[in-house]
Amino acid sequence: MRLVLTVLAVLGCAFGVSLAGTPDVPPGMVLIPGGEYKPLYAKEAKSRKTAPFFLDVGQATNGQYLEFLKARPEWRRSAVLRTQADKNYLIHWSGDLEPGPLAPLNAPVTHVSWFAARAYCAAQGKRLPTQDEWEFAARADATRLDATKDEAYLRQLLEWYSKPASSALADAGAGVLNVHGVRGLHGVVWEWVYDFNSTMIVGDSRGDGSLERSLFCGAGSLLAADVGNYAAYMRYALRSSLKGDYCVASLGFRAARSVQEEVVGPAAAGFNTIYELPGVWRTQDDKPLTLAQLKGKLRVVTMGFTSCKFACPRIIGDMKRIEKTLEKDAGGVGFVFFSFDTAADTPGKMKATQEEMKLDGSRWTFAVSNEETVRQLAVALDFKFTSEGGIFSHSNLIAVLDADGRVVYRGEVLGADLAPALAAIRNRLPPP
Amino acid sequence: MKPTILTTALPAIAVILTLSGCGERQLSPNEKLSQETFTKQMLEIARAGAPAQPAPSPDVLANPTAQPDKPVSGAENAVLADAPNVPPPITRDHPTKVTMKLEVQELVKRMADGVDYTFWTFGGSVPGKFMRVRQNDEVEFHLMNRPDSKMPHNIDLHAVTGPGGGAASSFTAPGHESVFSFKALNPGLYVYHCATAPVGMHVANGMYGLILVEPIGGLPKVDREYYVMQSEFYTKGPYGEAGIQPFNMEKALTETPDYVVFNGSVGAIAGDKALPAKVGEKVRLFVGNGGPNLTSSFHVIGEIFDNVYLEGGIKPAQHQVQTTMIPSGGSCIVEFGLEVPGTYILVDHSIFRAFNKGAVGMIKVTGDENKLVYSGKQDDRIYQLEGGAIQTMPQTSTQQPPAANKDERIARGKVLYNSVCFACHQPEGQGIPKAFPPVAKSDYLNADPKRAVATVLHGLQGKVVVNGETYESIMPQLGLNDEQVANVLTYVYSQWGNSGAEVLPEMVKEVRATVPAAPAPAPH
Repeated sequence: MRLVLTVLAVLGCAFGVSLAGTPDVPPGMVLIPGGEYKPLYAKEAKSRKTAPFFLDVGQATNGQYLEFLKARPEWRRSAVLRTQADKNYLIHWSGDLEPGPLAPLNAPVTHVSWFAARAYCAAQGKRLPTQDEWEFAARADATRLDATKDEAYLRQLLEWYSKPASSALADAGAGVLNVHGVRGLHGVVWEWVYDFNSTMIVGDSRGDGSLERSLFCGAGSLLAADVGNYAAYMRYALRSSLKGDYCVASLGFRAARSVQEEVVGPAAAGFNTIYELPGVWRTQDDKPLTLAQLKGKLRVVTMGFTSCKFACPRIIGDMKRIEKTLEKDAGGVGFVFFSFDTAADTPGKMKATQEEMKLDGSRWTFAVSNEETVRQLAVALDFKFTSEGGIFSHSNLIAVLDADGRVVYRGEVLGADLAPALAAIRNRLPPP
Repeated sequence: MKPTILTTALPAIAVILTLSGCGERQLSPNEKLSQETFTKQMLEIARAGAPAQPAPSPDVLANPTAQPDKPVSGAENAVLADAPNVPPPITRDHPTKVTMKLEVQELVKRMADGVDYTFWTFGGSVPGKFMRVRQNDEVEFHLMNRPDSKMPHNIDLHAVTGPGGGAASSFTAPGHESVFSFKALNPGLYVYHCATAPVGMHVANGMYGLILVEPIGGLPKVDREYYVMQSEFYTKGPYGEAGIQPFNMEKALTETPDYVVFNGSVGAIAGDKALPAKVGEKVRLFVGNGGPNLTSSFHVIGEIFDNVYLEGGIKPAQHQVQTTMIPSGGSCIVEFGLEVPGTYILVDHSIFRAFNKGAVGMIKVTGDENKLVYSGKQDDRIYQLEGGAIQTMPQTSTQQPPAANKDERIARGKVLYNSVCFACHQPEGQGIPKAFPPVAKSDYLNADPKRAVATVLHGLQGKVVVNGETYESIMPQLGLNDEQVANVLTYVYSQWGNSGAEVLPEMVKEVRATVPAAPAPAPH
């Protein structure tokens, strides 16, 4: 395949697109044409565009996952790091390399974390579908590209969603084939998406209809586009309840691949602490930065974007208050602002913000990277964010990382009590 | 106070007894005893609402945190109970640290006979576990979502003071456990429920229950406490359709439930699962309404609530209440003494919900009869309107040519008999013993056809002897025309061993002209 693609590329065609303009579809995948769709939560209920992409016909199965584990011992149950998969990881398997009776080879693999699912996809040269891609493909039923206006169809989805997951799973091939040729997007298992942590609902659904501005930056107009689509609410609610290390009985995944490019981000190598996460950032001084370089110092970190007019300046304000309260101890503490805004937050812009807010450049670091590196850090810190036309909605959180990059404190800011964060810092400062 | 009650109550009872025609009867020793108990109970009711402890002033109730209390000490695990049971009253005189563990489980259970539903539950049944803590207790709450759950869940406890009532803090993925803490500042009876999107569906599938925060000093002592929670279900099929019934969103949106039930299913507290109690006891019901949509008009048929703690507040706000309104997501405490044995039906008095949708529960009260309070049926007699006993039954006139011959007359008479006569005289003319005389092998009929015609024309009241039996009943005037009377009598004469006589319209006409209706007997 790669050879063919290379040849095609040499022939001057767009990468992965054949001479006739139709992309070659990798085996086991189908091409989902791009288009517009309305996500459940969207700023001013605007449509979103999805580029064409390839999607696996079925979920990754226990059998396929077993093959992955044979090649990648670090992802076996006995070896996996707790930072990447919780205690329920493959708990239904009989052994490290024995799926056993509760995990039939043809059934979708479940009890896998987001990190594990990403590692599996990366090993196939693929990636997890984004939420937009998944939702776009999942609007279809057997005959229509968009069946979500059909109440009977939504009712059918609700019926499946409502049922407990106590019984053994059907084969991955048993699901209903939709008009794209994708099987069992509904009715088999829930599926991980790449940006599952972009769902901004707070768990208390009554507040979700009109989020307070103080809860989520820029979220004042984040409204559900279709309050009648209960099935979609349930999917978003589930995603919103997850963290990257969670392994859930009814949650599996399927892989996707972009058509236009084949760049797959850094394979999520094992990490014990935040500072072992891969990826390269750029600072406000336009210097490359790996997270490993942040080792050796207690740090207060947050994530945001510098064009933010509302929450982010206040979060920085809260961090400044911490800095001020610590007085001379603040010299032993670093402050880091990681930006989500991979497009607008250039080193120059970050530098300007640092100066504008009169932040001491010897203590304060601003850093930005590509979307994948940013997303991985956000998942690892359990921060949520989503973007809508250059405006990000995100959690208003700070975290305190110890000298090795372990999260020793994580909490809400914006008017919240800063004492617990201060206590966490003081407890770990070296004695004077 | 006592003489007043006696003088007002007893003559009233005496009047009732005289009117019922049993005034002469002596009271049995048992009934005399009941009478004394009754008087005592009435006195108690008059005092009802006075709690065991001196009542806190209204100022304190409005600001419970200002109420003096002992410091928090000790620790314990909460005792939870499944409906209709309630954990025992709290006897501690101080607040403590309470660990509360609640497991969320999604499971298929019975909704009605032959009907199953996928319930989402707090603790494995609907309604969720009853929780009982004391004012100022510090509760460490654990919400565990079972690994086989399909959904994330959370809990909003209306007893919690804080954003979302704990909802965001307790948002829990399947196979996880969330912990948060709260201080039970406000006493009262509170609803708790799941608040995960879509919230209506989580509630509609059964995710609600009650938490009681006892006030400092506790609630007044009663003999029995029960937990009853109303809610409604929206199913794909109509009420009673067999099989597993999925949730129906359209019906939920239009608020047209198929089931309205107490304690999660039809008959959950009825029949052999009725709530037991005894005469002389005081009962307290902790009643919640999980909704998700309907307000309950909660009523116990045959009882009057001595005390109603409106909307789950902590002081008896009203006495002598027949029906109390319980909003969706709200609660109420009702108390009543039991004077008379028997079955008391709990209903939502929006009564179609009771008779057609399942909103029926029962309290079965055993013990000695108390005829003074309730006599049971004492007499059954004929009731007549003033000015004459015999009523005219309206008949629509039917224009039909006269019968051509006897067979046709019999055929038409049969139709008429089966619509007009058979209800009393029965399909085979056998009548009903002691009520309606037979028209089969009837000496009364066969002896005198003209008398028979007159009876049908004018009706009959008073004693009549048929085949040796005396009947004292009323036959109404039927408003039949001559042809119809002839037809129906000819049919009757042709049947069941009667004489076979044919009655002609001319004879009816003659009788109508010559035989007057019997005078109505004088009223008693």
